[in-house]
Amino acid sequence: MSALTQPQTGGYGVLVDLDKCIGCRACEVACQDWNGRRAVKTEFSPTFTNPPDLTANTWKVVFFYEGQAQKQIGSLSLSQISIAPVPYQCMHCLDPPCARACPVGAISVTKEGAVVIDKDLCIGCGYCQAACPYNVPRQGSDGKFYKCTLCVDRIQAGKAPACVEVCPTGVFTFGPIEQITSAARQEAAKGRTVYGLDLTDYIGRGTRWIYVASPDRQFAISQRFPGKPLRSLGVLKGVPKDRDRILSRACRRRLSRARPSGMAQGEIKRKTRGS
Amino acid sequence: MYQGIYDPIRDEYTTMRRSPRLRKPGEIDGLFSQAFGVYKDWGWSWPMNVRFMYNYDSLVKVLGTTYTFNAAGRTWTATGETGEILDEYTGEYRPAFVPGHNFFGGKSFKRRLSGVADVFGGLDVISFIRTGVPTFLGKFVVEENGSVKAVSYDEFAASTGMKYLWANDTLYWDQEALSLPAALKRPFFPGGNWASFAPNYATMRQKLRQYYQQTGDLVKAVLNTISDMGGWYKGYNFQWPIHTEPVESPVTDLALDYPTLAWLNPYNLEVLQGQPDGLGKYEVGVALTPSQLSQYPGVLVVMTSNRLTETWHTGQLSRNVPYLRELVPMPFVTISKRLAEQLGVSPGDLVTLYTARGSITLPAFVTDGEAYLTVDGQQVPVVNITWFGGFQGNAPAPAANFIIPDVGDVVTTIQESKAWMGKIAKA
Repeated sequence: MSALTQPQTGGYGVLVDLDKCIGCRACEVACQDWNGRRAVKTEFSPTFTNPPDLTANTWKVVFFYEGQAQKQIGSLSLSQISIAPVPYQCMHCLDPPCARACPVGAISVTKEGAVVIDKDLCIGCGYCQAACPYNVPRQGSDGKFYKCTLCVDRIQAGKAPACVEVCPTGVFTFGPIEQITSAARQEAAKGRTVYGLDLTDYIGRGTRWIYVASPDRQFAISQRFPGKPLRSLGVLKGVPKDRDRILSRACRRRLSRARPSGMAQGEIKRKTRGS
Repeated sequence: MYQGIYDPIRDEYTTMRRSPRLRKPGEIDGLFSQAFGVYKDWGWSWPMNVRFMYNYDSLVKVLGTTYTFNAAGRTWTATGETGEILDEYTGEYRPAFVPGHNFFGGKSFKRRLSGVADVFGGLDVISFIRTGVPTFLGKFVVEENGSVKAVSYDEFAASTGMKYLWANDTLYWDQEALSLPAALKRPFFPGGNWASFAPNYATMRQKLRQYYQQTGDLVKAVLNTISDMGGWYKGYNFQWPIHTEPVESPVTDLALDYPTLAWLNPYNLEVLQGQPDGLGKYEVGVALTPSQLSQYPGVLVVMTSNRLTETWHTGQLSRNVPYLRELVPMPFVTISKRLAEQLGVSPGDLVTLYTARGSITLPAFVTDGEAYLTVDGQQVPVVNITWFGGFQGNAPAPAANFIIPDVGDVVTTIQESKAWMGKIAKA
């Protein structure tokens, strides 16, 4: 659809086995720590999810969902309350709509498959957030948008992402996307619920983060993820539709930031060359 | 329990070590540190700086080898991670967990010294930290030729060669240890077999019920029973298990049938009468029957407490780590959906928990996963209070300790923090 994105094959992916997750949130903390994000000042969260949603400083959040779990042990059928944690971050779509939506080309797909925002190019228009079916990019206090980078810096150094490495129970399997996809298909064949395969064309049919859960935790997947990931119109409401006006305003803002304080408009070239 | 956090011989707080090096072969846990990439000189961990618990045979199982090394003037052979402890004879470190070791080693060490009891003499730690001069309080109890003798630290060190026993902190000191008879007391309660206790047990329960029916006051009934019987649970020696209700039981009928053991302890008895030492004007009492809480609004519940993995103890350390505070910024109380509907509480609303020791107000975490107990045919909701918080540091918050009964288990003196009674209402 757009020349901004890269071919959808190759690169890496992560398989998330929700059955193994104990909700310790080590991944959430490791993500903030590795990426140098400040801690967020939070209040008590009635869902236990804290911060209650992704933020510009929290690129990975563990969501907690409560549901009724059915367990079958031999002929015995048990029903119990289960609280299922879902580690959640940018899904790294195979064909990311955020990258297609970005008017300045600040979002690109690396050869590792990571969808990354270039902070220096970002103008803070919010189109990426409006286009994202998972409502992932979040605006920071500097006006720019931030999200998970798949720890592409670590991958390039031969390491797994920080959250993958820190997990004490081995929830995440990191590897080439072909392996991850085929592993996910095997799990689906076993009757487990899989999310991240065969989705809409809007996101390139799939994501690089693929979630797997047994029947007793599938309620968490259906509560967390949209069945048909499409443009999140709810968010779009807040974004003005006049792209050119936003662009010119954003460019003006960038120029005024670049100008040293105490200088009048129009003086930039003369002063800098003269000094 | 936290022996090892401070090394008094080298005046080092081991928890504050920040050495990014792996131990070398020849040092304690040298092979373990190298093979598994464990930084044993970075901080310290319980117990004895062991980083992986129950790890007695990792070297043999994984590497197929044992590890021989010298420490504290001896040669040791390890099959796994040994950790380290101060040697009483040399003051150097020696391995703590070596093949053949079990976790009762510490206790048998005390028994070897005493043969009798478990409270002796030791270092006055406060004065040592202030002045750097080790002074010794109390007596060291030793067994000699089948009889027991209390000796001073100098005599003890001269006769055993354990010059650094104080640094090891294996023995501890309290006021009572200064008197020989106290030091010699057996830790367990006297008493005979079940056959000799059973009649007393029946009489005690009968009297308790009778006095309660006469006076309608369980506190008076307990005190009367004690004075009639010459003691609480007289003749019970803890050698067979019985069921007892918690001190604060919501079902009085059960509290009369299975009386708590707590009143065996003199401090608990003071709490029962609302007059423990040192607490001045504060409410410290216990409510033995729901009628003692009748002045408070709300629903009668059983309260329990639990810790979270995100907080360490009261959170003195973890509350000041911003990333951990972000996850759980304050304590809360878990209540069932059914109870929340009854109270008119939505998730996150504040609720007040009333007890005989005052009240605290916390936000409510509402879930279907919290239990309703069926006690003696009655439906009693359970509420669960996360146990951390305090006045100081980041994110100060009310701690569950304010409302936990100030009565301790008779043997261990651990606070009765897992089952007590109170009322809950929307704040």
